[in-house]
Amino acid sequence: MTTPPTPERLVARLLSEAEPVRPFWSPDTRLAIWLVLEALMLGFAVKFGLRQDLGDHLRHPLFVLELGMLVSGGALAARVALRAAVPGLTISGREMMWPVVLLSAAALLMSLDTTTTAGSTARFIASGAQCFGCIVGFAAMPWIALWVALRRGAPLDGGVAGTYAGAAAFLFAAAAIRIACPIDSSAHLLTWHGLPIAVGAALSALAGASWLERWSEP
Amino acid sequence: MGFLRARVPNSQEVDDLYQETLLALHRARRTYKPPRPVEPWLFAIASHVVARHMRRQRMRMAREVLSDALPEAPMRDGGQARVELAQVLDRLSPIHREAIELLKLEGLSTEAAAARAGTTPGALRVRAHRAYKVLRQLLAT
Repeated sequence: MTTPPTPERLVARLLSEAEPVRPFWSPDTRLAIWLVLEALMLGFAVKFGLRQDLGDHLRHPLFVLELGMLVSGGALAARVALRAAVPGLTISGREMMWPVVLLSAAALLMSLDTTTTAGSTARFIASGAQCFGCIVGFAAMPWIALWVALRRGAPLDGGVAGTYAGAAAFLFAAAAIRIACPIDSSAHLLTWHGLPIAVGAALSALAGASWLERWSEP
Repeated sequence: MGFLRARVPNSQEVDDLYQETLLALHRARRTYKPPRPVEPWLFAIASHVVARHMRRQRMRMAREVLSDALPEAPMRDGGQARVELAQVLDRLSPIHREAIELLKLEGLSTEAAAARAGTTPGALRVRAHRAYKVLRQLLAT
């Protein structure tokens, strides 16, 4: 029978096996790199979007405000997620609340849009499913990038890190699709642009709770 | 170690958690940046290890059906059975053997036995339950 390792023996073994590691870049540096990726995604949406009247809409303050809220909410959510992967960095309640406030405000602005689109339920679902799919597509790569960054760190609460990573990726994706999608009706926006953010954040929270804390398993 | 002792009453578990904390610190070492003070980083990881341990313990206790009944040993002649039982008890881990000795050989109540073992009544019941399971297996072979 082998004797259980004593702390001294364990420390000696860990020291003998330890290799020099490059310390993590700060969360803000990694956030800046991630935002470059997101800027490319938004640029792609502007270039290849279906909206012909984007120039006119960009002169509309509520449209710009809504986009600004989605983008800033996404950036703040990504910041919380990246900070959550570094033990000892405190995240205040206010920092955690801001993305929620901005998402709620963006949803409120979406609901204010009085444009109505005549059409059948089938058309509503078909056009909505297309937006839903595009949002998932736009969110995928940034979410994977954030996930990899979190996995390389040491999240103490996988659920929180996962929630904010999902929210960040889907908020930016919703902003990109808001630029690209020509439909402005509030029902379409709330159902097919707003709902995927909540769904994406919830699924990412579940994934985070299951996998992001595994670094600390004995 | 003092940080863990203040949060976990059982000294055996403190030793395990101390080693788990060392491993977690080793795995998370790239997240520490030297100019920052080390204490918040270190204690955040230690708190996480303790919280995870508590969570698992709660889940385990909710899942396991605790039994106060000793497994029945085959009754042969008294002397032989007693020698066999003593040999089997020697093969149990110290904390499991202690649980059986306090509860069944000394006949203490769960609360009194837990106080003697320096743990909580719930944790002692879990230990005894596991000890019975091991005893059953050992006596069956």
